[in-house]
Amino acid sequence: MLFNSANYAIFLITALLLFWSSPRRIRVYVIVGLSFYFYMYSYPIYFFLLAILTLFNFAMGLEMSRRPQSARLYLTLALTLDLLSIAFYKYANFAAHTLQSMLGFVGVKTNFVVAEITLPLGISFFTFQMMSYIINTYRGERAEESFWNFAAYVSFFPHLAAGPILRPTTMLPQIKGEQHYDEEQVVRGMFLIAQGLIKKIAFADYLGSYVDKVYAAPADYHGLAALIAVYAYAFQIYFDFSGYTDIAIGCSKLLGFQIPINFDLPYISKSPREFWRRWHISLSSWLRDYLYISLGGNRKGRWRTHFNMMTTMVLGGLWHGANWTFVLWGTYHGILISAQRFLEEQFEFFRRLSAKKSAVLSALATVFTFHLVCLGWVLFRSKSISQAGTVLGNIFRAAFVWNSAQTPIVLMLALAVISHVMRSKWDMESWYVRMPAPVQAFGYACVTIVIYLFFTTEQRFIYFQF
Amino acid sequence: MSVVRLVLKLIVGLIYAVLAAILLYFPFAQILAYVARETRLFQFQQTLQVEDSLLPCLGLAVIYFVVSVIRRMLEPAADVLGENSKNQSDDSK
Repeated sequence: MLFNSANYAIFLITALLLFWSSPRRIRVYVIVGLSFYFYMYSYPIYFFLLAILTLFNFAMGLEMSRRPQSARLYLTLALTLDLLSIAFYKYANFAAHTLQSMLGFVGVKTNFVVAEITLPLGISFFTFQMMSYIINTYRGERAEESFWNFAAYVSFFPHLAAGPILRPTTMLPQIKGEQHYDEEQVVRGMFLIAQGLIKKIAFADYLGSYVDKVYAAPADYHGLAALIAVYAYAFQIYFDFSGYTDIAIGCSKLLGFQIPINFDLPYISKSPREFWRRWHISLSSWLRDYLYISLGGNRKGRWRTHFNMMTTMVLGGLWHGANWTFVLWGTYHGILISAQRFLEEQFEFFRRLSAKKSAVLSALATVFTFHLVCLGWVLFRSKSISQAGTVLGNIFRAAFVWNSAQTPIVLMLALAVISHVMRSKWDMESWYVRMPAPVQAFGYACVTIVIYLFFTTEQRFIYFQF
Repeated sequence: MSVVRLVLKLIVGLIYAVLAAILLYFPFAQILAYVARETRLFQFQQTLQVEDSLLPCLGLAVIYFVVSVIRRMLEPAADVLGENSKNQSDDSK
């Protein structure tokens, strides 16, 4: 069920009516029921996958706290099942195709048939949540004793399809506590839903229509046309994913839950490391806490730190999808972060750069980082490495000629940049909450008109495929 | 008045039952359809698709909301919200 569909609107109204009308003691069952219904909407059969994984991880967590001497065994069992589930549904085809290609390269011709497996919705997100719960329990946190509380934490529908990846310490206390109807939170929730829809429908889908055309026939677009597609995709993916997150946070607020932010204006970052502190925060902090630190972090010497950073970023890239372009994208970001650390270690100038408050230097660093990130997005968007090469190569293969057909896309990009810079200076959400009801109503009316003007068809969110 | 309360309670119970049945119907229908297709021992036709259940669920939610409002008017809010029963069970401990 897409957040930008009429069906989701019906579902959300149903959910709010059921949730707030229910006695407090049964609200957790209502949340679980609604979440499982939401999940079944894509493929009902995967209800069993979600239910079995939830039950197994819950049981392992409980056993871990009851028998601490065998905690390692339960941790291994739970992590194995979680990782096997992702490996089977997400990477089986990729591994089989890669093996087939490698065998073909050395002269062995194989013809084994690889079944096309439909990816269960949100598997990368909910398995990571279960893994964080299991690892936290292993590290000494108290295990959840109610299955329904745990099931609500894993499957809470606003973030089930594409995150944010929630930590048990953030969500479980809220589920166990009482949800109070708070008018300010409702207004904030409505604002975020409206903002998310604008980001998705007016910005992401509009820019996406141009990007899709370019990537469908990259050989036909040269010079400025190809360059605009690169910038357009950078903003498309940001507005698409952050729009989804805004709607998820907004819906949670309507139900009385607080979900942490997942994006903090990533394109104003002044370095690759800062970018990863602002982009998909829940994933990057998950990778830092459970992978980078588990590998030894920066505690095992200089070269090991670089190795750990590279490994974390490569696996982070692979998490996004089963394709070599994602592996390369992760490696690219690993190199960027590693290079930044290396330069800061070696040269005084780079160490002092982040502390300098010069506006010119800051602007230059922001523009430079943005372009480094854009280069990575070309790999991320391309179906193959050769396609990425074609798109990048074509930018320099022709003169930059202005085409009037590009004007609306460029205007939209300018608007995207302005909105990005403006948000860093102005907390619009808090301002909107303080406005009188008629002004708020006018705002919703404007949003409805914009959505009506831009809406063509229900476009999937990019991160739903992960 | 007690009859009215009983009827309202019955409606709420029925809504819970129907919603639970809707929730369980789809995954089990898929399993049944799969078994029927593979074994050819019997035939199974799924009568309701997930998207077709959205509006009936909304209808039930509206009825549930209305019934809850009426129950809160008839009884102390704590009874409807389930707080009294919780307090009682806490006291009994």
